[in-house]
Amino acid sequence: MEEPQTFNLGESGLLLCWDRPPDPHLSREIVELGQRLARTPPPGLIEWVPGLRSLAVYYDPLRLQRETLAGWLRELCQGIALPDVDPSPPLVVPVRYGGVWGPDLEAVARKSGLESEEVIRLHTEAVFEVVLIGFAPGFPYLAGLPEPLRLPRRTSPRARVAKGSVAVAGAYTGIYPREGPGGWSIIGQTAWEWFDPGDEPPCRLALGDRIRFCVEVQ
Amino acid sequence: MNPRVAWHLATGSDFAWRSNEGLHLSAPQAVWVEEARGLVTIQDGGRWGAQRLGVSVGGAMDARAAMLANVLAGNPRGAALIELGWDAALTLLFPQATGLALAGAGLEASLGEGRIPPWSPCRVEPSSLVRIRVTHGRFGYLACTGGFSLPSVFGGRGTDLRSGFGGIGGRALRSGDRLPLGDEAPGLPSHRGALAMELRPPYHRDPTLRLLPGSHWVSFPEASRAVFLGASYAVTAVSDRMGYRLSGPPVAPNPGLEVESEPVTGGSVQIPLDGEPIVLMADRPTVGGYPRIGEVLAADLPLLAQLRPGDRVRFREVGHAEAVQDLRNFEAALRRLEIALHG
Repeated sequence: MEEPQTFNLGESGLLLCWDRPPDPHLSREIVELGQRLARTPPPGLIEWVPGLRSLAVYYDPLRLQRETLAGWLRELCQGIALPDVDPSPPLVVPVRYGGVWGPDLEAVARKSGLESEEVIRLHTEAVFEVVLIGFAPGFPYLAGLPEPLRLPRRTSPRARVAKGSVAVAGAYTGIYPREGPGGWSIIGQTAWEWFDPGDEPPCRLALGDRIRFCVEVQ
Repeated sequence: MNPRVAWHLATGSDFAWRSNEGLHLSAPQAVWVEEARGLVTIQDGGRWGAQRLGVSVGGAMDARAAMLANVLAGNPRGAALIELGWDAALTLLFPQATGLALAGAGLEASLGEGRIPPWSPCRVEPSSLVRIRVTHGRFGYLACTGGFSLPSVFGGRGTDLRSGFGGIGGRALRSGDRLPLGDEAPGLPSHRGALAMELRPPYHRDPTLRLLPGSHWVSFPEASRAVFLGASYAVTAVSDRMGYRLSGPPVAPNPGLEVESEPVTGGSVQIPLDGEPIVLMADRPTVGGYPRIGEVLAADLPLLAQLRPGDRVRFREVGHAEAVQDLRNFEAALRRLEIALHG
């Protein structure tokens, strides 16, 4: 993979950024880089955290020089060239759209110039792929949102988004695995559990998993 | 062990052995919460290693005060201890003799008729009642010798209130909670006297926070950066363990800048659409989609953590070398303290 730009993320973090649009292939390469780094960890390495087109590496700067770490990462990048993989069959997830479960469905329809039914149809026809787990425990960023549904996040975030909420923002759809604050537009809700610290693995979804949503029959 | 099972073991009622009183030698060492009001949680050095599952680092808001309380109590720096919020009142019962230490911007603690001085190792005798509240600043810490032996969830013992795990059942402490003491400490510290002033964070109502520019720094127009570095910002009431929202001259981001969610850290200064900075604190999300102007140094984040709504901050730009030198100095001082206290 190509060499990233490197920045400070505080005195104990190095942020690598790739200058190309995020996609599932870039996500896999970023995670591969993190895993390779952790396989032979330099002394002072704390942890690695992927973004959509970035990777943070946290380290102890008293044990590991920033330049040494950056050089080692650049070298690792050169060895990464992942082949395309056959997509896995999508997990079909029932969703209750609109109403109390999807308080922003109508606003999303209005802003995208569609009827609510059309929004639901587009959202249930698409096949999504997990490109990042982050923000909150088990929160998946799902790529593959149809173009008409791509809207900016809400101007002011909600203090409380219900557990299981299915939401859209930008080019992504996501699922809130727990109640919490959030700025995405909520169009529906799933009744499934998505994250449990007592499970192994705790996250129901992993990078590369595919999802299709369907309308839950009530 | 399944962490969920482990919580139940830790949170299950032990009133059975307590009601026998007699403060038996055979009973496991523990501290009892007689009364807890407001935000009182178990915290530690943070939950590192699970951010790629979206799990927040968490840990003590004033990481340096927490670290110093632990070292004074004879513990490893990252041991589990009690964090009190500014609205908190806490009464603890110590059935057995133990050591403790208090730290933070301003605490008042009484032991019977006497006072417990902060920043100082202290020994409590069996059946002692200790009452604590935060008098100024925002967070106070109480470390008990041995640390609290609570189950580790994703590598941390601290309470994550939003996710509902860590600490005692992922919630704030309440009366009747039993906090088991661990044996992580070499023993009660024998040292007396208070911690030297130069080791304590230089708390101030109007601090200047040093900032290391981050990945979006150059994408802010020069005028925006000048506004940000020249202004004084007030801490608003919209501030909690996740982040402190500031109010002051708006910082205009580059309108063409598109941020794809990327990792954020403690001290990350986000500039949302309204231009008023949000500084991310212990319970931050793992990634964020707002432009960030930079990161507050680890040494200065405790100064911000201790501010209340209406207190003010300024920012000053520094380089990586200065930031690391500061860490090196603190590490050396802490190491000297550990040797002086425990050999």
